[in-house]
Amino acid sequence: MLDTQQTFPWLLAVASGMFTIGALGVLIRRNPLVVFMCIELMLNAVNLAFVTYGHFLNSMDGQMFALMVVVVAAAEVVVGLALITQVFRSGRELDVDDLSEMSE
Amino acid sequence: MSHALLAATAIPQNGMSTDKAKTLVILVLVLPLAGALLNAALGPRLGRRFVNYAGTLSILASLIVTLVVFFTILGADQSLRSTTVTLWTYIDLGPGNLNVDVSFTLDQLSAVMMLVITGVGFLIHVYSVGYMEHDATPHRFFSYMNLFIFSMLLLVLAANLLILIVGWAMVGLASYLLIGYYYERRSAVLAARKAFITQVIGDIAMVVAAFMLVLGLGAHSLSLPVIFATAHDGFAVNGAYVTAICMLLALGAFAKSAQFPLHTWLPDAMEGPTPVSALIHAATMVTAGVYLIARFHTLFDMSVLAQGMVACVGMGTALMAGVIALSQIDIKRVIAFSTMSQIGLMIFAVGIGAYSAGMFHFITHAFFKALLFLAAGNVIHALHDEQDVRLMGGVERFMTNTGRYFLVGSVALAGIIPFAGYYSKEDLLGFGAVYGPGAPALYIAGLVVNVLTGIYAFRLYFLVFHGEPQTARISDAKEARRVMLVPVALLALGSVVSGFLLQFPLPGIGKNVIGDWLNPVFAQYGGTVLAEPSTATVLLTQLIGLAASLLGVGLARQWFFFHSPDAEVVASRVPRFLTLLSLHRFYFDDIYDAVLVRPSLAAARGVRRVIEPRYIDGAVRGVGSALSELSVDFRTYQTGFIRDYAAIMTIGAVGFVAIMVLLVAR
Amino acid sequence: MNSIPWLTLLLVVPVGTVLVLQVLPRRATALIKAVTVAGTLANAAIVAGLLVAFDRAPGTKAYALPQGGSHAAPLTFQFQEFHTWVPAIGAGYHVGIDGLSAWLLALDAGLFLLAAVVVSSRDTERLKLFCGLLLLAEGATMGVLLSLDLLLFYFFWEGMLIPLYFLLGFWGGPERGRATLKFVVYTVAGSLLMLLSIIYIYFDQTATASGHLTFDLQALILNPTPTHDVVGFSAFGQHVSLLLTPRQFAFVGFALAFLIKVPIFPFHTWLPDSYVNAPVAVLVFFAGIVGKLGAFAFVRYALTLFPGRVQDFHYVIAALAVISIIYGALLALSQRDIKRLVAYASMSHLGYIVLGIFVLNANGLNGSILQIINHGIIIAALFLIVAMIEARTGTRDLRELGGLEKRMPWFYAFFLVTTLAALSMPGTNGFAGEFTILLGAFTATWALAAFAFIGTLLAAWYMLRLHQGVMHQPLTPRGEAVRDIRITEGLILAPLAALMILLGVFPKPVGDISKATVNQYVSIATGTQPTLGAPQAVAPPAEAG
Repeated sequence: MLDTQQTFPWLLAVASGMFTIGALGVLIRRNPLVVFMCIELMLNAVNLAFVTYGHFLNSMDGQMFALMVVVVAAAEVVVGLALITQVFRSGRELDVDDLSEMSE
Repeated sequence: MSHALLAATAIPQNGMSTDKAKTLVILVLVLPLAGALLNAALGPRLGRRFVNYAGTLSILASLIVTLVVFFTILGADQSLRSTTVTLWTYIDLGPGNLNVDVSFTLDQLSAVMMLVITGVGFLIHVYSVGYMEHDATPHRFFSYMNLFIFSMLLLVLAANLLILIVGWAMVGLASYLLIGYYYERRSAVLAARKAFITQVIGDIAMVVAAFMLVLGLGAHSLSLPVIFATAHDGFAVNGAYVTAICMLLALGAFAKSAQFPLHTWLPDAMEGPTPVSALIHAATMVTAGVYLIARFHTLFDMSVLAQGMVACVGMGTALMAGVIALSQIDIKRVIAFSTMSQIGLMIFAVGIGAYSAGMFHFITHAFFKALLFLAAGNVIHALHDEQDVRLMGGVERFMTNTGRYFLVGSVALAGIIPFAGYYSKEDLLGFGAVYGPGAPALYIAGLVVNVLTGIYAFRLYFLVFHGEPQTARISDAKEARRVMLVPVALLALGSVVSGFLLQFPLPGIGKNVIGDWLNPVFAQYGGTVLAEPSTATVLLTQLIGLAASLLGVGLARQWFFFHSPDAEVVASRVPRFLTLLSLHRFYFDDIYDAVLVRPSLAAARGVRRVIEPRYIDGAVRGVGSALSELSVDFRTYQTGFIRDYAAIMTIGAVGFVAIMVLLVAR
Repeated sequence: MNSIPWLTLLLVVPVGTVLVLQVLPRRATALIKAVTVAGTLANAAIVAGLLVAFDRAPGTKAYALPQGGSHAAPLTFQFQEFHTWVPAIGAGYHVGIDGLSAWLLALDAGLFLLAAVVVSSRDTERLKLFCGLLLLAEGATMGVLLSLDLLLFYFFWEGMLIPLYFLLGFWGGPERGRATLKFVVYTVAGSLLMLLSIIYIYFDQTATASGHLTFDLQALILNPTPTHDVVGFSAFGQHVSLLLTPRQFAFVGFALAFLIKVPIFPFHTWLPDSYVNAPVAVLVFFAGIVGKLGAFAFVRYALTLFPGRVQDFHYVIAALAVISIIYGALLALSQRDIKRLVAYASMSHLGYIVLGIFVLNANGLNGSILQIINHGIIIAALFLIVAMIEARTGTRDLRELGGLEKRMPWFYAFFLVTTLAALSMPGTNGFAGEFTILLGAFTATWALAAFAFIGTLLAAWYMLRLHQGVMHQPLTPRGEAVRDIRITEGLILAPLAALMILLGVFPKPVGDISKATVNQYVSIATGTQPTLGAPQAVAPPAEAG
């Protein structure tokens, strides 16, 4: 169904596009929730790249890695959201630039 | 393993059966130990009466067992008198490695030692009941004293070098505990520490000797019978190896017996209660060195050099201590230096191979020296702990009995016929005239010791008991209680009779009891027993020796009988340099302090203050601080803004990919 | 016999006890204490049973190689258990004990029981956490002793640090922060070097028939190791030699980790700070067993994994040990703080243990095992004694102490026995061990023993200085109101003192269990034991120089 020669570069282009959007989002946005979503976006871009390569190289490894990433991402979401909720509940404004206690 | 051979010979018809020997050994050791533990554990609760009984009766029981041992050995055939028993295995690391048995030997030599230890020990324990009547912690005292008897018995019974070393060190421990008995006195604490550390030097020498025996003979069991039996095959006679072993053993003996160069602890040890000085620092422990060399006669017989060294050190110490004793003003220290001098003579005797003569002097010395110390203890007790002879004088008027006994002891010490010291001292000097390296020279030195002995013995007697009382306190002095007098009287009896009963000097007339008893031991393992000198020599040496002793006594009478007891008096009578040496005890304490103690402490301080903080720990902290300085630079990048981290990460990732691409593209 | 996995139980019991503790309410201190003591007691009971059942003359057993085939096992382990863990890299859960670890297990269990008793005899903040960490430390130390797999060993070795870190960091003395950091960084640095060495050894195995690499200790000992050239590199047209072969570097990595853990001069500077700042219940096992695990690992790993290589270095390490003996003694001699004095005394004594190991003969090694037990007992008692003095007088300064014998006769008796054992008085356990070690050292080279004797002499000096300084001389104001020890304190000290005397007059049981194992270790270390590829395993003499 998929024309290998045709779709391969496109798929990669979509993946890299998604990744770039995600990276920029992380760098630019100040709302932690959005930053979080952007990270998810980057992860899924990588997933897409994995699956693409796996498919075109006739290897299961790509899908295996993608699955792994999904699992890690799920775990990450749990922790990340919990952290954000905690910050929110402590009555602070949700702004990543305010969360700079680590420097000292 | 090693005892299989001995066990086979140790089950004779009229000798001691192994089981009986085991029982006796266990009993004789356990009784004093039990006394020590009972006193320590229950003494504080049950009070003084209990302590007095537990302390003395345990030694009496031990004495009774010892008598059984003695008579059993006496009843046995000459060839069956030595029994070795093994109680348990100490350690067994397999063939070719250390395997040590806890084993003990009952023979003529150990029997003699046991008799003196428990016999004199018992008398001194009884005496202590009176002497320590005002002491606050008698349980402590008797516990230590009983521990000492146990340790000393362990030492003389041991048939294994490792067990001997255990006993060797434990008598040192008991000595340490008792020297430091009055622990609130700083001088006592320091004296105890000094004694202990000096003993450790000796212990280490013994341990090294044990190692050399293991290596040289393959004697992994360290069993004394095995060592002696294999020594002749394993070592070359007069070889360097056996000489080294003997030197090390001798060093151990010197530390214990307060011989040069490890003698400085003994005078300080007089800080302990007087019965301790009598028991440990006169009668028994300090003579352990003599016993050790006698016990290791097989090895010493193989090294002329070591024997010569031992003989010279013994005689040298005898001379030196005799000179020092002339000027001391502390009653106990005079006796202490006298002890050092007399033990020097014993060491000299065993050094020239006259083992039974050395042991003979050990026996008589135990009597008269314990007597002197206990009599001195009576005086000190009566004068409320006064020990300065310059403040005494005329004591005999108030303490007649003690004075008489002290006189008996002094006469015996000086070696006047027919008191015990005469027989034993002239006997060993007689051997010295004939045998040993440089025989006449050391003999002449021995005569000088005789003169010195006469002087200091009677100087002390005159200063304390004659003349006018120097303080008012003396006229308040009361004769000691019976519990303190009876032991002294019994010791005085021993000081009179133990000489001629054990050996009558003229061959053919009397019997050489002590020689007949002990010489078979020294003939074991191919040992040679020195033949008695000829009758003419014996007569001559006895007369010359007696003359020398009388000369000393005469000089003492001339100098001290009518004069005020002042150290300066001595100073005017003898050459000035001798006086100085004498007063400063030949400067040994100062030299050791300057050469050994201070440099060690300085090194320790240097390590603590400089090397450790500046270099060793300094290096570690240097690495640490270098790293943390480095981290200061890196910390500026840690802004805390997530955004910055993300940006750096992105830039890094892009940069990495770019480099990879460029590299691959090339 | 193996129906019950006793060794695994040794690991499960402490961890299980921790879980039980979690259920208990925080306020129920008595219950928490009881459970902790019960847990450690259970472990001690198991170890006691193992010692009784231990086969003293096991002979050699066949060892099934992971790479196939079987071979006479170089070391005979008993009560072995094996389960696959990470088969992909050849790491297994393999536990067992031999004559070396059997005694250390006994010491370990005994000291943790003691520590638990000490904890229950006093008030501790955050008791539940403290007890939990204590039990975890017990589990980790047991794991170090039991594991026969390098990866498993490393797991426990590092795991040991975690509870120690918290115990020192939370309950330590005034300088606990700095001390803990120093200790942890120091040991971790050593451990990482060891990890590098482990990885190197892992990949340095000669390919076997099935191509399996393994972390199994026995297999690694048996595995023939290829000989390598001296490491070097070219720079500016010159060949720069690093003087050592990779295998030697690996040995150095192991050795450094253990030298730090023991510790041996010049890697000892963490010791006084950590010991002085550690709470007494922690010190009992920290000083008593953790340092000894370094010595244990020396024997178990450094001696066995580098046949031939050990001999390149054993005089270096033995010399360091002797320096450690004298250096520690000198430092102890000049201290005024009694806790610091004891810490340096401990360092000096540990020098003897390492000396005994690296003289590479049976006497020395047996002596070291004996001395490991002895020192564990002695040092635990000494630190307890120091703690009791400090608790009563409020000071650790020798100048402010004195004359306590008058007030504390019972305490004096225990202190005396401990002092004598610490200065290796003949008739106490310290002598039995030191005599055997020094006999081994004397056999190897008399010079080493000669210098070690200086340490013995100094030991008498500083121990008497400590003992007399505290107990004798006139009573100081600090000691006026002091009471003698309570019965509970006496019951803590009494078994230790009894063991000091018992092992002093009858050290045979230790040797009985250790001697067969010791012979195996010595023959491996000296290269007299054949391995699979014997010709390859023994280094050509030229390289050794």
